Amino acid sequence: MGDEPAIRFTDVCVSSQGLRSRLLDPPGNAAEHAILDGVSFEIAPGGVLSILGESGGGKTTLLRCINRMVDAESGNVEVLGRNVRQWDVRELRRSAIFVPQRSFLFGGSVRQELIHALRWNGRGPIKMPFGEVLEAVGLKVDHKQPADELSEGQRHRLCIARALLLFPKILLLDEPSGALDVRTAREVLASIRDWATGHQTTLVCVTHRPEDLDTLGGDALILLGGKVSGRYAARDLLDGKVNADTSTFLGSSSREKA
Amino acid sequence: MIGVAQIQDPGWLGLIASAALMLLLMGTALGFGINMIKEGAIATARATVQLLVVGMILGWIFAREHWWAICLILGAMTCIAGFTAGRKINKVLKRTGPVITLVLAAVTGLTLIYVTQLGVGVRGFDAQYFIPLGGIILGNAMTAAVLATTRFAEDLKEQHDKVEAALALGASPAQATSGLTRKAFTAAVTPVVNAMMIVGIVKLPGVMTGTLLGGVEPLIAAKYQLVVMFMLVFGDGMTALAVLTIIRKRAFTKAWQPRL
Repeated sequence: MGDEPAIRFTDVCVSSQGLRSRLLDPPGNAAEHAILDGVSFEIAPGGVLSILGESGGGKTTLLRCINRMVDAESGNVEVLGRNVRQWDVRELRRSAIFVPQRSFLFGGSVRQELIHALRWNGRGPIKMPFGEVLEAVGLKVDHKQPADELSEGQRHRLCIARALLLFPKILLLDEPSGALDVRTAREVLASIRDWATGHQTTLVCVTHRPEDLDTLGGDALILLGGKVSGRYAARDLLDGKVNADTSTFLGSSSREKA
Repeated sequence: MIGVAQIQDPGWLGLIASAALMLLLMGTALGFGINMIKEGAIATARATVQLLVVGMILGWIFAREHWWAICLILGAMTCIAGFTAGRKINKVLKRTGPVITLVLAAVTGLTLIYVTQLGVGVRGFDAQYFIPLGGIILGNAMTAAVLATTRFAEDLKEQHDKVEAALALGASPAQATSGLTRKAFTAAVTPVVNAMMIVGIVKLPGVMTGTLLGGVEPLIAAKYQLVVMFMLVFGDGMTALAVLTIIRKRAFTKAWQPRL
């Protein structure tokens, strides 16, 4: 298993139709469109991959395929050398933890917030490195403070810390820098990247800010219209050594911000 | 029978005199410019036909005491209750009628046997106890099933993302929805528990009223009412738990993906 990639997508397709089909009460007359359209890529164990692309372009769906919140309609998703459909769901989800873009709290103090996830996985709070994971996300707060008193940015970091405490092999972050100012985002991402490197954790990070790549390093996957438009070393992408489509996309996204 | 039932038969004349109250109200309302003649007439006719038919059917069953006739009528009542509940839930969740019917049948059946044999001390089947008690359990349990299911399905739709966030941390569907389940259960049993709190203070509850009219001694009527209240809380709570367990299972795929 050592040589297997941490994650391997082979020709993965997901459509809006497919997502609706599992619903008990599917909304009628919605148009069908592809969300992921033949996506293939690999990430080596311990690697870092950032995913960039237009909003609504399938970035989050791609992450949700990895923890099997979404099933691929065709193609294969393998995690740690095994097809996600062959994993025990709980084992898969605590090996590859997805942290959504919005932060969700389940009640109680900062410490209790961290303990919820431990309990769900049948673990107790004894000897758990609460301090270490909070430090890894740069959160300096009293463990007894009610978590809902934290700022949005702090909450988001608490959610990431909650994931780290389960020591996942793979960490899937959806827009982790979204709720943070530029300077804090840089610090937090650097600190998470260091934690991931230190624990041989594979890091997959959806972002809309190319400057995050500077901090995260590793590779970047560009997802346009549900297809992989290109994959680059973070440095090459920042230096503009990219294909025409990617260049257009990067150009438009930087113009949007200007 | 408890004591000797002593109740005045209203007779057909009495019934007509009472129905005249409806006419009196409709006429008075008309004087205020409110026309409720159509609704009043329909309601009067429906109530009269439905109750007289039920009265005749029950009279036939009470006279013969066939166990299968008791089961048949309770079964029919269960199906009507289950599908009525399913129709009410349809807006938030489709196709719940059959499941709720099965739950109602199981809960009502077991509660009824327990209460008649141990609570009231009847031996065997007795239409006089089985049918009225069965009906009141069914009516309440049906409401409990509707409240629990509607609340759970609405909350799950609304908090879909939060539930998914818990699932993503390794929570099972039961763990991820424990808060929703608790709220739905509370919504289902609150009406009957609240009724227990004020019982006898604001108004005399239905069963006590009925037994008093039937000429039963007040203390026995009070005991009856208590047996019925405990029975209803149990029936409502168990129905809610069973329905929630099934709906929760249905609301997620085998791979723990929400379907609402």
